[in-house]
Amino acid sequence: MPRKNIIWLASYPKSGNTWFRVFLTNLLYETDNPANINDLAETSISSSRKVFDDYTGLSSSDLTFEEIDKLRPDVYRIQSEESNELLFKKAHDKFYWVDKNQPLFPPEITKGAIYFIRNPLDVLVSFAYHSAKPVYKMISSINDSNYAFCDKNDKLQNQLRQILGSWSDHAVSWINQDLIPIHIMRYEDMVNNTFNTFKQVVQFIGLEKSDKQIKIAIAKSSFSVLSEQEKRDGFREKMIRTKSFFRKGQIGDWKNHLNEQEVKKIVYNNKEIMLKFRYLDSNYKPIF
Amino acid sequence: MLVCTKMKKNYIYKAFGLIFNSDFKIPELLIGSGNPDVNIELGKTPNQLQKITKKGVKYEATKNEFLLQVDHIAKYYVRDGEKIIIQLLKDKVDKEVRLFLLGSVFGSLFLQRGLLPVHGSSIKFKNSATIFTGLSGVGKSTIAAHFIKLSYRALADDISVVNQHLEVVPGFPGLKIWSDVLDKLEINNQNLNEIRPNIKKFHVPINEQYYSEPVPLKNIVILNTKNSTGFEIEELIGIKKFNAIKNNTYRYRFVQGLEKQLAHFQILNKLLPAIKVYKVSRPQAPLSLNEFGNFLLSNIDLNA
Repeated sequence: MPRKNIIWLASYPKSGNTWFRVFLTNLLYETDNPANINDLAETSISSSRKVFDDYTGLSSSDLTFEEIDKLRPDVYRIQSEESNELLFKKAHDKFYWVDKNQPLFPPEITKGAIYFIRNPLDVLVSFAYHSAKPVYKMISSINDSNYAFCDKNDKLQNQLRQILGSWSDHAVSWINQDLIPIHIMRYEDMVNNTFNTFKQVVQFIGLEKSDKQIKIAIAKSSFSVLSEQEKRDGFREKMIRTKSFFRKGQIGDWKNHLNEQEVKKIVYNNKEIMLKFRYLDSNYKPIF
Repeated sequence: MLVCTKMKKNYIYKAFGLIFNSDFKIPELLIGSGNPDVNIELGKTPNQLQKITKKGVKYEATKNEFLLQVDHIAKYYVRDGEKIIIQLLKDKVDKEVRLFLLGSVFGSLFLQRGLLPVHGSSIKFKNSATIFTGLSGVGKSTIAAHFIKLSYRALADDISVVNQHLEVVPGFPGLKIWSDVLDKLEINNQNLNEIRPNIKKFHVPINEQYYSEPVPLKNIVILNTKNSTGFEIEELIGIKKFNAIKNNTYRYRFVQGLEKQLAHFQILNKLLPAIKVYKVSRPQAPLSLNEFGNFLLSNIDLNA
């Protein structure tokens, strides 16, 4: 009998996934000092090339993207089988089927998925900064239904290919599937209503933690703690051309960076999901 | 009575310090002679192994057996470090069948024989060898190709085997290089063969710049990337040194399945006092191979 011991931490980039992983590490380990951002707990990314190669016994660099995709669910099955504990696995992939019989993320070993979502206007600004790319290019990526990470076939990239689709495709793929129980975390709620939002997710995971423990873990994962740590020691998940990973984390920072045309391009392509998650009012005007 | 027996043709090769007797041609390897250490046959592999000690997505291992399946290509069975049976899942032996044979399958063979396969490329500098290892995509073959371009000679690409005499034994005269790296090295890929259809990684023959004798191992360089400018180097000692080699052993999970932990531990213990191990970090991108090569040459005693 497979055991349901994997929790997917799924998100489009720049939506609070890393913040949550720091919180989780602080919550699980309860060390005196805040968790080291360069040593986060058991949250290896599901597109890790090393994990894939180790568990399949094959070099992913000798396989096509499609061949890799078909083997990925079995990698997670073996990881699940070998673990007596809950496994948290970060994923930027959208939820999709690798062949007609199985989705990338196997439901029979999954306890649940946490889906992090953030206003795509703020995602855009943060993502452009993080990737050191101009805003207009990032708009194309966010609206591109074929968008993927590490999908070049003329060179070896550090992770396996991850198909994201557009910002809306990504959200729809996770939210509309009904094979895996899902808990949605809005970034804006993580910022504005921190304790309640984090408490709910702790309950979803099924961790027995007191309010006090949750509050301490939140404090040890605050933006200022993370930003200080990065200034002091660096953060290995930062891209080389970016000054810092933990930039501002503010809600509505897009107003300082985007012009009307740029806003329109995002809203036009993503309005249904933006409306659904209360990023737009009924007149399609941004709320945050 | 006249008995007509069809003479079975076989091919003898030398690679990784071993003599192979194969049912089919393996043009990647150098022709050898002498009594074979390993037989490679086409035949029927077991469907599954009994008393499995380790299982992967596509492999199973017992104490002395290893079975790997590559869908639509072949099943490979390795026994006692002496025999490889290949059951084709396609009509004939081709470069794809050989690719996995010369990779994971050889890796398991070396472990069965108590050798130490390190995941990386090795270059002969003056009188000693240095292995460049690290995660996939970190640039192991790239830096090796750079040194080959500078007229150093290569011993192996992807899997560098260390024998009981603590020497790197030469593998075979070829590298596998991605299209973008070929561009960087200004090598035209027009006459090169792709490792598989639709994968822009090419077999690059290095005949004259292949060194075909074992060379004492002097350094292992663990390549690493970082998200800041400049290069960094750290000599690893103690447990860090041990773990670095353990973690970069080719297909370390096979070691557990083949119950070779003790043999592996013993060869590492023998090897570590004799070599230096460095962790070298370079910027993710852009990378100047000349600058990186010069950094390695001036910070590590490669030419010892």
